[in-house]
Amino acid sequence: MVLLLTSDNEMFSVAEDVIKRSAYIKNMLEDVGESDLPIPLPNVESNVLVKILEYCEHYRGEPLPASDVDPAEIGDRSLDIADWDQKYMAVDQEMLFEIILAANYLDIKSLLDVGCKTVAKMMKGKSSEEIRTLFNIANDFTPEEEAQIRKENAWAECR
Amino acid sequence: MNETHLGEGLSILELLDALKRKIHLDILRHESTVQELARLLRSKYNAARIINTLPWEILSYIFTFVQSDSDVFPPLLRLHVCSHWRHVALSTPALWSHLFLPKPPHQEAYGKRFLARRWRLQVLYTVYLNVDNGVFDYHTRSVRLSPFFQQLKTEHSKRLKEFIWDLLVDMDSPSLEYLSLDLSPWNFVSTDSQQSLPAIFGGSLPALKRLSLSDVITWPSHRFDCLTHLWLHRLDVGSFLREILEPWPSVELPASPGCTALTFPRLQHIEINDFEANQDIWTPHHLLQLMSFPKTCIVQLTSDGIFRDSSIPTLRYGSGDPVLPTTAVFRAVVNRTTDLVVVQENAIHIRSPGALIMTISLSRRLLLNTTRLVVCTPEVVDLWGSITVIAPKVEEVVFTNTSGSEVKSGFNWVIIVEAIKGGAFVGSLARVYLPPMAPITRLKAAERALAKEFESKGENVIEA
Repeated sequence: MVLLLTSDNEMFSVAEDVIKRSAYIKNMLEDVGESDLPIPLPNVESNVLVKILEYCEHYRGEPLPASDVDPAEIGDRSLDIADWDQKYMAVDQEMLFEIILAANYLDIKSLLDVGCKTVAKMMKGKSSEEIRTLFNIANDFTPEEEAQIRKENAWAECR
Repeated sequence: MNETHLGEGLSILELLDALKRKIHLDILRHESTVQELARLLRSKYNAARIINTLPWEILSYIFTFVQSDSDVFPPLLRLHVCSHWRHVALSTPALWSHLFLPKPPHQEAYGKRFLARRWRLQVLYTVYLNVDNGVFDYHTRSVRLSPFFQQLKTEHSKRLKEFIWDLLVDMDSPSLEYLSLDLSPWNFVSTDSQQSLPAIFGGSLPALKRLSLSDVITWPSHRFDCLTHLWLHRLDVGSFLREILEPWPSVELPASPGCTALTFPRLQHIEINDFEANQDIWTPHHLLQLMSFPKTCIVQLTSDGIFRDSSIPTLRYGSGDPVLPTTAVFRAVVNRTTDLVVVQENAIHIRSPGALIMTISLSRRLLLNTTRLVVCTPEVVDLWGSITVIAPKVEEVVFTNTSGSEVKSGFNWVIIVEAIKGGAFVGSLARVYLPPMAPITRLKAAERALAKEFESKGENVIEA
């Protein structure tokens, strides 16, 4: 078992084959070897780690992805998401982005992809104004900038 | 103070007018300051939004997913949301490394905007210039143009043609590795000298590895030292040869041994198909005579009749199809890891190159990063160029005439279904085999329903 210590000082005891989906933890275990000391996760809160472990538990036993894959170049770029993953990602925006951040920190490529695809699907087919509303973003362009952008890309909005 | 100063030598009306102007300027200045402060506050507000707390590279990664899900989804749209997104989108090379212009009506504006940002051509790897002009009808074996495309072609052909020409002339992309030009939809094939291939390669294309030209009547005068794959489709051989031999007026074909006007030191595969040869004394063989390439290069020639009466061995297409005499040479290398296996055995309609190409086309998303493809089919020869167009990164295609049991061992299968409503083509069904770790494209609800329908008719569709 591996001990994990979250940023809010909660301790988790996790089976090694579950948490090894995290390349970060896997490498750390390989580097450090067996130890009774907990692994601190200062960037992950306990409620987020619970979700992360739910994902790792679900995919327990599935083959781990190759470690030398460049996420920028390789992989499925379609927005297809497996049914279970879709249900897993049916959370509020705050938790969704926390999962993405944690997946990035813990280096769980498949989960990072699912999270990014979920956000991409939310954006797909929406106008910039709709995207602003979706993510509660304000238009911070100056009127001159906005006029210029609209002029440059008028075609893009009339899809 | 000011009032006294302002009032010196002025009438009351002039004084009031000067005061009014000053107040107006003050208001404008304050408004501008307030607007700038508001903008800064909005930027601060945006910085605290949870999506903007994501690291730059993750937001950029999300953008690439949105971008790659559609052939024409413009990255520029992301520039509209807020200044942070604009900065991220502009700084993400992946969003600007592929130029697809397949679907009107936005291709013109998109292309212009794209090329206006010239620095991004430094990272441009792929150009695919084509139009999605219709649907292939398997009954008539021809493409049915969509009404929209017909209207567009009628109304905007000249304008788009000029745009494409301008685009090509201006192209100067040192990183460009893949270029596909299909000029047929715009009737570029003509004896009109104005429609010769422009100085498209007047720019420098030192990294170009793959060149696919369809319905192009002239040869670009440029050295292609890095070219590994060349596909020439619907080629006017005579016109091509005249263009190539222009710098060598003394050379006469076909008696021109030793003259190699075109040198491709790294060419691995050349495919010339569907060429116009019956009405001309020139054949692709004459073209090949002028080319210098490694002996290991695979050469594939395909046409509808040039070899009909010759003694050259022919390969046949699907048994239900007309016999299309062809000569072809394939060299299969099978000692590398396979990315994708395509097996046509469960196709609903007749086995034919067109059907298999359709299957591969439907696998396009899976093929995006595929470098090696194994095609298990007994009767296909005319494929490589099409695959090149569909899958820019494929480096090697292996055709086997087996059922594929050996190569697909250990692979997972994915059913791909497509149906075209209201047309003669009722559906396509095939299986694509992926390595266990490859991402799997799952069937959508409509596809599942169609697969079920096929199953109910006794089609053997889900047999592993």
